[in-house]
Amino acid sequence: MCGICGCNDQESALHDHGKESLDHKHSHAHSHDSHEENRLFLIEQDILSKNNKFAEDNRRYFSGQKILALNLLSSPGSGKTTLLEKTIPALKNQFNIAVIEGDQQTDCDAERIKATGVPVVQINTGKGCHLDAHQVGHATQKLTVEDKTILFIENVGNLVCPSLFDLGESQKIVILSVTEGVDKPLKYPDMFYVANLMIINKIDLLEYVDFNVEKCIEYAHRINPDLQVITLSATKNKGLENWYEWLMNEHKKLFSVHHHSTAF
Amino acid sequence: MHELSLCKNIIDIVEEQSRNRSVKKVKAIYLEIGELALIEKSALTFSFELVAKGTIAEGAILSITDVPAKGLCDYCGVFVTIKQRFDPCVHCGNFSLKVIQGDELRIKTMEVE
Repeated sequence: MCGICGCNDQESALHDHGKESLDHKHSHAHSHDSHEENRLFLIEQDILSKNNKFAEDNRRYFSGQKILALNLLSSPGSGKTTLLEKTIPALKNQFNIAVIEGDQQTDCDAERIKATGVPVVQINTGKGCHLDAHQVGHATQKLTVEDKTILFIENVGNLVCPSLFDLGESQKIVILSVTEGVDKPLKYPDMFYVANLMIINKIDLLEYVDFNVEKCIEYAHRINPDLQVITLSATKNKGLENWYEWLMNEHKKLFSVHHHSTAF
Repeated sequence: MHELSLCKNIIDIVEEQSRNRSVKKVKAIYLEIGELALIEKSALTFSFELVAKGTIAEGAILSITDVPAKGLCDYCGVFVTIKQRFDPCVHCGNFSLKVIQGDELRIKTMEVE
């Protein structure tokens, strides 16, 4: 059993199960002089500190193994799995690729990814509405992710909760489809605030829906001026080359940081 | 409903902090929550009651202090109060505010017996 969270995962994970992991550096607890029965302890700790500690463990591991970890975030039905089904065959001869699939229930998506021939592990969150760093640490060990891999972490379809939880990823990618409405960034600003890249998917449907791409990008940039944008259609193979180029550049960046040379 | 997992985190931290301190019961937990921190307070208190059941913090009061959101305008350099992440700067009208306060999710103190 994992001594940190009490989970029953028998696999080893990226964090040390053998000792208490909470960093007490920031909690200078003391009891106030107490002639009364109640005592007050100062805690001064971030509620997400445990998750963030696991995320840092993951990040250290990913960095050490030259793994480009990408957290894919969106509403349900934006086309995340389809995008991966297109991306994996196109790039798997150039890179090692592995996938962590997060869903509340079923392994439908994992089965679809398995058909592409890359390692995949499904995390079912049950009642949970997001992946957390601890789950990702365990899943990474189950996958035995090789060095220099692109690891896609497909998060639970939800534009709210996953934005709060750092998984240790290199980049957060938010995917939005043109059928969802141009004002999505304003309705769910937190997700677009934390993202590094926005993919606008299903652009083949633009002639059928009332969606103004420029307006959507303008809204997203109000929240996050540094947000990069790629428009594409995964099903109709439009704009995918820009996405592949983005992936190659990110992979190259990661690699050259450590080696001062390019991977290609 | 991420408030449920946040409450699990709160209980974990409170239990860690209670260890080796001969705490019989946690009576109150004081939080600071930023206005932009994506927290529905009623969901948090509801979840807390559920998650705290059977723990050292069962029945504890969850006291929440709101932290107002503030931004710094990249363009004109002023500090402004903000309500939403996409608010424009009230001075120059640009969408150039960097959030500098309002994302807090902190446990400040706990009262125990």
